[in-house]
Amino acid sequence: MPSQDQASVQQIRAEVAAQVRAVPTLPAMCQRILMAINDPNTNFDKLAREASYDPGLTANVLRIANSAYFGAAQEIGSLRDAFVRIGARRLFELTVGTSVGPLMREALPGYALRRHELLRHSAWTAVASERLAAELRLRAPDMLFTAGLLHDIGKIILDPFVEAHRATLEAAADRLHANFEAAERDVLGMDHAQAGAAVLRQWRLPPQLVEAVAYHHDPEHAPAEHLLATNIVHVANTLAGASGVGSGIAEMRHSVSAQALAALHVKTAVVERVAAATLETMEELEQLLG
Amino acid sequence: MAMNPLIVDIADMKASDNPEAALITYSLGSCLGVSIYDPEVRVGGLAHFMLPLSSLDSEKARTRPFMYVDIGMVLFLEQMFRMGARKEHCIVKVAGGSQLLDTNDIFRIGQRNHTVLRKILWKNGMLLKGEEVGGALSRTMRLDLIDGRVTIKAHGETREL
Repeated sequence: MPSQDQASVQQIRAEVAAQVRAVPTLPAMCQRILMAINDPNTNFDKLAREASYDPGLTANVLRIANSAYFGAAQEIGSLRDAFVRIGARRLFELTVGTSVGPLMREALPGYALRRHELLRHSAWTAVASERLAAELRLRAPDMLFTAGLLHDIGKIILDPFVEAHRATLEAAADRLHANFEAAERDVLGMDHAQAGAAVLRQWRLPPQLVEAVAYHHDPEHAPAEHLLATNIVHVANTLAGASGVGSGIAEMRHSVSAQALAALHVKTAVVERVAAATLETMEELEQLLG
Repeated sequence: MAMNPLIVDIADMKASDNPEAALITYSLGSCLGVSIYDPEVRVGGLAHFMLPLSSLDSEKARTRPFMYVDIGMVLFLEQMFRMGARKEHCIVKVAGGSQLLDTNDIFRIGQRNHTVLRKILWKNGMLLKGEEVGGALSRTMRLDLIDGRVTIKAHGETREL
């Protein structure tokens, strides 16, 4: 039984939906590249020409494409180059990353996240997801980096509501002896994972991203075809939280899915190696995305 | 306090002999914050260790020793002695080492960190003068060099360690 009365939860839901609609749109280039991924006859010259109308975006994407983490062996000088050398999928991930990064820079007082903390946590989870896949010798699921990067985007939406109901949320988490997401559902009628999935749907991002974000705290219920990505993001996010990276008000009130750990065959040495490797690349990435 | 505190990042250590200085480290989840202070010479340092054992990756142990409790703690003590601190005067305190709510053996990093720290201190014949470890909370730890006071902030409450 929810502790908040139904009328209040209904009202919060409506207000959250309005907040989701108010989220800035992604640059048109993201959808264009997404279409190119699915269309073998894409004219990359035309696409690169269109992108040149947004020189700021192009410059940012190239900066990231040439970073140590995304590691092009030779300098990538143009978007046309990037299409050929890193591929449309990776280019899509970089374009989304550079577009969404600034949204995640601001402090979220409701979640007790200082400026840059959400971005740091998100980038940390994105890198840790890829490292975890590599460490486990798994073929990385499609757009895994972006799934990790966007998993907490819903916190931007819920933050004012968390701030307004903070005492009730903390009490609910203590009373339920539960993780913070359960308290969000109890008090606000939804958690930040669901709010995040709503943002991604509005941005018309592909289902593998929507589902991994929607179920990142509840991988047991993820659709089977997106289970691997969801499990990986879940474990990477847990590791970020355990390491104290951008955990904010939820602090260590995270639950680990035993099922996800078992499905991935995660061992102590694996998570510790992933944590160490992730920290190494963080400084560079935070600057690039922020 | 006149000066802004020096921030100690994750996998880092800072030491100072400036009595006006304060050292602070944020978001100690399963990581360990360790402070060392010698009241005789008023030298102090604060470290933020992430993982227990450097044998995990010997390359990183060289480039980023303060990532690991074992090697980081040894270097931390050496640094303090170089700055004039004496082992018998050193006051060592520790905070952090938290566990996730639904803990799982694989994620027992906090507990492993704490065990390794105690082993190293024991080997060096040193004792912990204060500790606040475990639980499912994330702590901020601060060391003021003027008087060696260590304060812990968690859940919006500040207390002296």
